[in-house]
Amino acid sequence: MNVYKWDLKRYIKGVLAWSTVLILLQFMYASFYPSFAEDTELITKWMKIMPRAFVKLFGLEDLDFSNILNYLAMVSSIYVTLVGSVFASLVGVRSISREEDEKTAEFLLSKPVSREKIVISKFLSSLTQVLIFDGIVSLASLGFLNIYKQGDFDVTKFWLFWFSQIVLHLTIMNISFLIGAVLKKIEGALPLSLGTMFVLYVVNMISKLTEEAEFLKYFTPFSYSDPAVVMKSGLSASYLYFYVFVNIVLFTVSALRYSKKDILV
Amino acid sequence: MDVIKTENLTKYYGKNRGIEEVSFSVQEGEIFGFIGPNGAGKTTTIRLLLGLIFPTSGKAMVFGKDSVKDGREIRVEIGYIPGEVNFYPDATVEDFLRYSASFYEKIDTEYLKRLCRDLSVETKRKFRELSMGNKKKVAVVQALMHKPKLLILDEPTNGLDPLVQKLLFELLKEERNRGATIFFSSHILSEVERLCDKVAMIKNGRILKVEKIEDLRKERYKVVRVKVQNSEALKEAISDVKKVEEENGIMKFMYSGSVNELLKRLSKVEIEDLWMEDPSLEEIFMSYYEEES
Repeated sequence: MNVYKWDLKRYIKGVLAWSTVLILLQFMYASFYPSFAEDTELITKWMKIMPRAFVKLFGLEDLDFSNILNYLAMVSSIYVTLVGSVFASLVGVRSISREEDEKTAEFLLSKPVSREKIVISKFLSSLTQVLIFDGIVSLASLGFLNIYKQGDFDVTKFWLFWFSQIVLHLTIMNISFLIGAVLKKIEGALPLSLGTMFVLYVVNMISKLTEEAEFLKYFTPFSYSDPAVVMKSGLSASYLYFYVFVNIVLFTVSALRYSKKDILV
Repeated sequence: MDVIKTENLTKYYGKNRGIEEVSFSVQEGEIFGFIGPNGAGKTTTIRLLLGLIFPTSGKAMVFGKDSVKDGREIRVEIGYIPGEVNFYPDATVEDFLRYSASFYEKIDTEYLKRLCRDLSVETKRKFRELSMGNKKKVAVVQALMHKPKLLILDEPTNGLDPLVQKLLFELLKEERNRGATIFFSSHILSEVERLCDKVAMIKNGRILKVEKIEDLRKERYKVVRVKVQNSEALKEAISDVKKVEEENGIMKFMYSGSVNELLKRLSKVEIEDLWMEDPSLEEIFMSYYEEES
């Protein structure tokens, strides 16, 4: 527990700072909604003259913006899905590689603690950080929706949407955690983590553009948790199983690799 | 009992050599010096003992346990002072020491306080604000707080001012009296000479020699200085000596072998003056390294 606590304490300020930024963003978007909802007809017309690719990218087809959840899904595809993933990616990658970068790993590993315990503690700390972030942001989201809603919305659907985002963020965190555990230097691990995340994001975009590329959606978690899709048809159970499977594999590889890693400080 | 025992310990970083077939042992209660130039493999050996890195082949045993399999158990009884101190920059010394203590089952808080007092550690300050010497003091406290059976120090005096050095050496003597075994690496010979019972020389990743300090001194090496008029005649008389230095008309060389024999040979030359002394450890090592290369 000591490694977990120390790690969490070290990062909590950063987590709160990110959460604050996201709360502000949400407040901004949510406060636009009332004027947005007044002109739904205009917006529907506007959507029709927009390039089809653009509409598809943001999942705007046949969305009824009189329901605030659809509005949430549209704006969230940037600030929750993408910005949240950037945060999750940073949390995951720095967990192990920062100790090596700042050479504190030499201290940590000279103490009577097993590699397994370190990797589990650090993983749990990263997991906690993402959950704290998503917890705060989702509660704020619920608050703002209630303030600015024009009619009632389906709270179960709201939480289903957030659940899909949290699972996505955890997976992104886990991918970056693995990269941080495998690579020797943060200079390599950090850009690779963010890069991988962006590539996965873009792959989802591409899969939505043409039918030839649609198969690509199976290769990126961003399509499983695509806000527009989740709002329309929920989170598919098979995707959920796949998420669980992928996360177990990712963490297992991280743990195995880290337990044999040479720490070069 | 062997506190440390390595058998053909070898470490390669990819294709680069770390150490090769290093074998030595350290007995309980000994102060063991590990000496060699920079890049010889001292730090690699220490990291292998601590389980920071894993051997390519061979093995290291500490307290009779395998450094790879039983790393955690071994480290319960080890105190480690790194060569370059890198702790969490934003943590206060107090918090850091508390974290450090949380890895051990029981910590004698009175002893911990005493250590901080003796070393005048500023516990309220953040680690990043400390000078190098003060960082080192914190490193000493976190290494000694649990009264380890084995102390491992990597270049302990590196960057320390003489005052802190003196404090450190006093603490080390106290630790030794308590029964601790001390293993430390250095490239400074005088400090090894002052402290150690036994010493291993390492160069280019290989152990050249492991010897007791007294035995090293007992070796028949003599530093001989001769004042002569005719230096050529002297060089002829001692033609088997590889390196003869000349300074202000005084010839200086290291000689190992029978003193009697040397005197006989020298008597053939006209000598103005003669000095014969035991070499300092430094001179022994230098002559040893030169022979090897």
